[in-house]
Amino acid sequence: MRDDQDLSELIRTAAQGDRRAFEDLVVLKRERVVRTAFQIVGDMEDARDVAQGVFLRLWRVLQRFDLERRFDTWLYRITVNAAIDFIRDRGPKGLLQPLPEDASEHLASGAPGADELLDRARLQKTFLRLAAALAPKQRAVFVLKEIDGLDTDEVARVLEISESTVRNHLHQARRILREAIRREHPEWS
Amino acid sequence: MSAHVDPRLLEDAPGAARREMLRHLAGCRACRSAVAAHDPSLLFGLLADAPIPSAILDAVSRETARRIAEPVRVSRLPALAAASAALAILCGSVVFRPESAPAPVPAPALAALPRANVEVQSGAPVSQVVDFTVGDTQVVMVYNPELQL
Repeated sequence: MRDDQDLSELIRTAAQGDRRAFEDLVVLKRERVVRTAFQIVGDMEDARDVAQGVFLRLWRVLQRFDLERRFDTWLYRITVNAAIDFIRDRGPKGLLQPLPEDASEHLASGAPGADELLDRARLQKTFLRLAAALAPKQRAVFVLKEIDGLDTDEVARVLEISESTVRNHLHQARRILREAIRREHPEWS
Repeated sequence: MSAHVDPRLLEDAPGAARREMLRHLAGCRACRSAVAAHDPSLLFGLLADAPIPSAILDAVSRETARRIAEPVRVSRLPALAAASAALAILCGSVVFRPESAPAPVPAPALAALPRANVEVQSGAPVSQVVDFTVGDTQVVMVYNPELQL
């Protein structure tokens, strides 16, 4: 695990146009970028496209990054904006296609404590299907707060909105998802 | 094993405390049932560490590396756009000129136009009054050879 100093050095080197350093930075951050994009756009192939766009943009603007600021917040912002733009262009989409085989198998078999009722593959499919009903900003707030585990103030910085707006979006998103689950999956509770 | 999860605390738990609760939740069916009864949307927090297929991650790295290694191409789009606009204006002026030009006035109509009557009343000798009228534009020249400038 790289510490902050190593990460800063890597960013500084990449920002000077060092492609090798930038590729290392991509390896370091790609899983987080793809995961966040996936939960927002709802499709693994689309998430891959979004992630590639995010890193190309990052390559172009990295020299403008202020090393005094948090890199992850900045990267989250680029990722979420790209994902929201993507679904606004494409329109909402539920789980119209299954997860790639290896992901489904991994999710189902590797989930600690998985049982018939709530294994993670089913949980993932349910989220992607129901989250299609959320507005893009609501969905982004829910993903950042509930799935990526960011605190409210950090979600506000990523999305450049107030903390009260974050709480409002989160409240609405939880309500919509809760009602949908209770309607479609009464066996959960 | 950590303490059971209180669903109401999970709602607002920050960072590390929340991660600890989710770790417990992943392995405790009773807690999952309790959370599901309170607010089932909280269970989506269990997706935090869902693995991403390595093929997807490799594709992101590979494509990004390929794209940033491409030589920077100077966009010729602005120059092409300007040339296209100039060409369009030129073609437009040629093509549409016959339609936009005023229709020629028929000869009988010209003849019917009122003409000003030019009469020089200054002192003699005024030698000539020459009428250069063309079409509907009346041009008259008064010529005096004695005038000295």
